[in-house]
Amino acid sequence: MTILIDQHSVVLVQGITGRIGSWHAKLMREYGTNVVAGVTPGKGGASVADIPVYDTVREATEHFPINVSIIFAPPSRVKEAACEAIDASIPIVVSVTEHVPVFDALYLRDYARERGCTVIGPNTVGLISPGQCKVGIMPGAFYRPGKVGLISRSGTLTHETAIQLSARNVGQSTCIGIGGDSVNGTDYADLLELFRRDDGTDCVIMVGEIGGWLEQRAAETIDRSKYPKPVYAFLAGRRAPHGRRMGHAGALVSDADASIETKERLLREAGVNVFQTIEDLTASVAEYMRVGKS
Amino acid sequence: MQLLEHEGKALLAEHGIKVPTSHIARSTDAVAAAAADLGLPIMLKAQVPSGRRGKHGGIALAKSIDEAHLAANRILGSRLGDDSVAALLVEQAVDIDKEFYLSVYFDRRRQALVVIASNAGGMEVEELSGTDDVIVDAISLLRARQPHEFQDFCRRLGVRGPTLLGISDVLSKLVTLALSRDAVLAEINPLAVTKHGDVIALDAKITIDESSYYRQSHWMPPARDDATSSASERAAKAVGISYVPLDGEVAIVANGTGLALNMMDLLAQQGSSAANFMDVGPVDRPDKIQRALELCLEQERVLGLCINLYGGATDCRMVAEAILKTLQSARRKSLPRVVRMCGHGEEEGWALLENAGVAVVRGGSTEEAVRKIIAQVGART
Repeated sequence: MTILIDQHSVVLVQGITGRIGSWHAKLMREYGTNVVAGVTPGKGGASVADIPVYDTVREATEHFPINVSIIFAPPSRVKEAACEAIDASIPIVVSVTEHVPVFDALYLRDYARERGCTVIGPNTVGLISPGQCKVGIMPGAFYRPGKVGLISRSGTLTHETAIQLSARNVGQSTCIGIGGDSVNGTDYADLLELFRRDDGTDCVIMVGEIGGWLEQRAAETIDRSKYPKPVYAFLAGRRAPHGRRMGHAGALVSDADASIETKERLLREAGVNVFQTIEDLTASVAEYMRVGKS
Repeated sequence: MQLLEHEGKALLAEHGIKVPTSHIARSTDAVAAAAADLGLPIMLKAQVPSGRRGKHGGIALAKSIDEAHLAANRILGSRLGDDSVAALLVEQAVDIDKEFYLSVYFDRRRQALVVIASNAGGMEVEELSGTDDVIVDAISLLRARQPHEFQDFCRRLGVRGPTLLGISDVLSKLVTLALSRDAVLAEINPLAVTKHGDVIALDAKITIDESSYYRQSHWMPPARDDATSSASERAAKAVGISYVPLDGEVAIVANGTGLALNMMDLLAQQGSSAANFMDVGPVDRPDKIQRALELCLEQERVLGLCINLYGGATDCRMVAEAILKTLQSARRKSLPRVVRMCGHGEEEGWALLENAGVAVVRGGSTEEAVRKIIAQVGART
């Protein structure tokens, strides 16, 4: 089993007639994703690789029971495109684009939450339930079906972890990129809850990095809920050059960005198995999946 | 981008927030002219991005023309932090009765826009952290706040009457400013209330979200040469490569931030060190690879090169061709190098590189690539 997407998902591609949108629409379809339609305002009536294109999202939903939309649009149009999908009652919206303005991403996050919609991203590779459905830009060949959940802020480290798991014959239930920006429509805590309830997921891997507060929030959630499945974590960037402080106000409202060591400590205290390399982490996960599940 | 104080104050004024009457001066003559126009006493404030100007002598009060001359001579051209002082903001001094702190700020921890206020304005903000004197509230972007909501918030400062109205009005305007200008930080410290009851912003620290330049650049000052970044970094940024030179011995090229960070960590763990951080982003053109490699090879002390790429939209074969082309014409032909690639076109890419004598990690892991380059560098030294 999986969370959020599976072989029954009905997928819309917004921005399908652009170079990137059309390329990935085809790749998703080749993977086996049920891409039923695309939207590019003004290009209604066209088609991309036999996928019909509509002018508006609502129009597309009049023809197909769409329940996931993935958006390929320039930063200036992401907020509008995503709100359009949310207004058309599409429950899951995936935003791939990088450099969406902070206030647009924040607006979108609040707008989605108010309407009970799940936004993945912005600045995400997307998500994949291997063998069933891919809504994103990750090379499908890196992933294989199985029972390990994966949540990551970094797209490339999602691939890295999946490749290493797959090489150890450990498959994945669903892998989600929550995005590398300072605003995340959905975070670790939200997805950990979904994985908790999924019978098809035996353990969860978190891949994080420097900056922000998501790993700390995840630690709180795991601790508070006495999370019943093993959680593994790897955090990148302990050697990163320090960024600039966000003015004086940053000192008032939040502490200066916590170090990797602090994040790791909080995760460990919550019972998470923290590793210094993906190699060590995946070896441990493989061991658990092989012998330790009882 | 962080605006200088005078730029921030211009923005405040455009949004109806009072600031002191002032002139910008870039010479001592200009300071004298400003003083003559504004009347004494005046404040002279160095216009540099670095914080804590007061503590480092960047701010002076002048009660006479002589004092103004002395201060201007001392501060203009001096170094404050990473910057050299090229301009002074000369302002009419204000008769301060009380000082407050106000800001509108994108709080990454809450992932929300917050308003912050304190009646201990004028102090170093770090000293206020966690005390009862600071009030905070989150602002929804979905609907506008009404005046009475700002007033009820500011009441918690213990102010009332005209002062309450004055301060909450400034806060309301600051929120409007932040949202319309994509200011992820808009801070006034201190916001002064004068003996006559005027509410005036004595400082402005405003930072504009870089991602919003496409819709804000029409009013923004031109990009300043950031004193902390080099010409190489700026050139890299111009072609979509995120690059930061560091002190280490192995140059890295990765097409993802997480991947690059991971490589840096692994190098350090194994007793080596990264010569740079580099995220080339989507490799949609061969010249991006070329540029990336040229940046790496610029640094003389580089002892090895590790390239780590996932071929998603990128075609590994195209990347392999670009790598070979650049290395063949580069100066340091014998530099140890390892390429790890996986994804579309990987088989062809690997074959091309191996046939040209480049060490390749076929899929594998980043750990493997790092071990390999360290071994190669070690064998050389």
